[in-house]
Amino acid sequence: MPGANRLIAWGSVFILLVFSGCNREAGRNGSALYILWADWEPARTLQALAEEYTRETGVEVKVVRKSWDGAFTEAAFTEFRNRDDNYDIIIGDSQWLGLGVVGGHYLELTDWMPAHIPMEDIVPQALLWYSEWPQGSRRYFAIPCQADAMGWVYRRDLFESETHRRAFAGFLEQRGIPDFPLGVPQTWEQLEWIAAYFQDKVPGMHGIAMPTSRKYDMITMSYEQLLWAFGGDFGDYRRNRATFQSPEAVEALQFFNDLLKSSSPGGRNLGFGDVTAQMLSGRVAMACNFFAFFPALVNPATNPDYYDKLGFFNAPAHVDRNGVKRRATSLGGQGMSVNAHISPARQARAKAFMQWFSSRDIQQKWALKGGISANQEVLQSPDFLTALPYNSLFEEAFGLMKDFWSTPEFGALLEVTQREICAAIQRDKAPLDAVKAIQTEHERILHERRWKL
Amino acid sequence: MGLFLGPALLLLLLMDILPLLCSLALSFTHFNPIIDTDAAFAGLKNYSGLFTGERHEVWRSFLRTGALIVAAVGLETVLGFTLALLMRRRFRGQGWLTTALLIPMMLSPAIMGSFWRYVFNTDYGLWNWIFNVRWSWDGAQPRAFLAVLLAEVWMWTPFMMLISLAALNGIPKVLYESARVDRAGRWFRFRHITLPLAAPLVALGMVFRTVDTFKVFDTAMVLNGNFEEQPTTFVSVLLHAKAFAGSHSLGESSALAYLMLAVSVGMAAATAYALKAVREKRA
Repeated sequence: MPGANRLIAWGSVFILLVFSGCNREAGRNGSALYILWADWEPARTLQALAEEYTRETGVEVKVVRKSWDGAFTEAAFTEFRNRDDNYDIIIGDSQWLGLGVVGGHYLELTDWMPAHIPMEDIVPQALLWYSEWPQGSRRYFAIPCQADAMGWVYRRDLFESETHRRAFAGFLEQRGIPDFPLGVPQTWEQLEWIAAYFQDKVPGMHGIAMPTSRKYDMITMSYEQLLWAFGGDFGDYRRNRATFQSPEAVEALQFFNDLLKSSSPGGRNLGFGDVTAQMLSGRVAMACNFFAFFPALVNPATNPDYYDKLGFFNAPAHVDRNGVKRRATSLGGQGMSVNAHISPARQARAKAFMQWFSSRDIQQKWALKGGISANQEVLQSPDFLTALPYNSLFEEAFGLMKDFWSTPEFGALLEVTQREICAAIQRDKAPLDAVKAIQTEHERILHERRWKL
Repeated sequence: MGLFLGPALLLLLLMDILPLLCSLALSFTHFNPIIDTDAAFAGLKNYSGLFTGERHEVWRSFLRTGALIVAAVGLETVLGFTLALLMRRRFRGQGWLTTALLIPMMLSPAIMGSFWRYVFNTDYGLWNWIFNVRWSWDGAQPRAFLAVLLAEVWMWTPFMMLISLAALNGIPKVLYESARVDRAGRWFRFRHITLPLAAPLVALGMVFRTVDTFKVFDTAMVLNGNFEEQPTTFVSVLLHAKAFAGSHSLGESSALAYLMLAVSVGMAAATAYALKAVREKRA
């Protein structure tokens, strides 16, 4: 019997050791191509499109989707942290470029891209924000995958209603505001008054919904549109200098706080999905979100009541005291990068897929299925412009796009920004104090950096 | 015998001792595993930084955790003991009610946290709907602390009830009968028999709950995320945030982990002392 016990003991250890590695090995050495992305509509669209690639080449493509609420960044950063090879391609946020490059996680594509990708067809801003790091260096680490920006959706049926137009005119007169028609707001101030009208005068309605959660980059993405429109900025990205503290940054934060008075009681802590849900509920007049979240709004299956009653517009402008008019929108979207930790054979396979994905025909299909292409020809094609009601806004949006820091320390910079803006918006911290805190900590974080290119 | 101990010892060495030593080494370095290939020696900076940081975030997280321990363990004890007093009596359906009361304790904290998140949702949550209020229970709002407290109390009151019930059932009935013979009133019997005799075991339950609440993470994480400087940034949440969010500073988080370890060891010593006290009292 002791012999049998010994056999059971060693057998158990052996089985434990063998099977603990099984799942991973299948992922590493199998013939499938693993792509990591967020769990949202574009990822499902990519999976559907990739079936065509599988039919053409026999290579199976699996788009692994992880929630925006943290699981996506966690999965990607765990891959980076462990220098792992679970994924062949990582569709990472534009802000991750710096850490992907400095950490050695993204394969450099500087020589490969001009030879295999139609570079001249890509919108230059898309190459700048999604592919190049440091910006302006002409060193490439990703191909543009999902171009995106923050946009606005509004209830066209309400805006075009004569009853509301008359009531809105009366509302403005009552408050002594210079008259302007109820329609797409041209300035942030107009947007604020329209929101206030729906909040105060239309029972059961709220004026606006914007991403305001502490999660990931949500509240920062909403605020930064105002920051840039009011004339402020985060810093000089090329020189790694923080220049956030300014009267404009404070004014923009104060305006943001006031604007959110026209949101629902929970409107100061909304995620991307919550904003969509509020718009679907039909109880919000205007909502701001990334365009990639809009397909659910115009789909009769997911939005049966309002899918055909919506209008869209790009971020409005702000005119400062000197009469200077500024407009900007937050850059969203992601580039497609090859995981540098996979074998050369897998790298070649990943590049082959990226080459296929970048071709004109596939980009056209990608755009028509709901993805947002960075291919200029596709963006201007009549098929694309009429495929979805907001597609015609992209060309303008590309000209308005700006991004948060994409240095390797972006995570620490973002964490501070999220924390302080949330404190100002959710806990009434004085905007000046919040702005000062961000400046101080951004300076410290950038000063303490230890990496070199 | 030695052969069977071998795998267990090997696992202990690989899964506990080795990581513990690695994190000790890391606590003396600056290391962001996402962008650094090598750790840079930092001496005692990570440890001194815990106490001298401008925002006193570590102190504040300990204070928050302390406040949660006092409030949660206090409420759980009072409510659990009261429930135990009620459940000690025989009545129809007692078994069913006891089982129902124990359900919260058996749920996973993550599942329970998701459930409470819906209860506390500002726009469509059950709480705001029932009480017809528009309270915000999350984010940087101070009420977020209350949300975690309520969820913890709901989940762990049954544990204190169970411990209290065991303590109450352990009191010899003869003491109550003698007291009745001596015409002792209800309050007198409660004050001089029930409380002192149940106290050692209830105190032990409180020690367990204190140690457990000190580590609270999942409930707070699910209800309000792993962010620094929120009303729900308890020590474990701060540790996780430092290691896996924002700056990904493994050195700083390892130093904080060792500070937590020191406090935990202190608590373990208190538990051992409490156990000894209970044994002596029983003897």
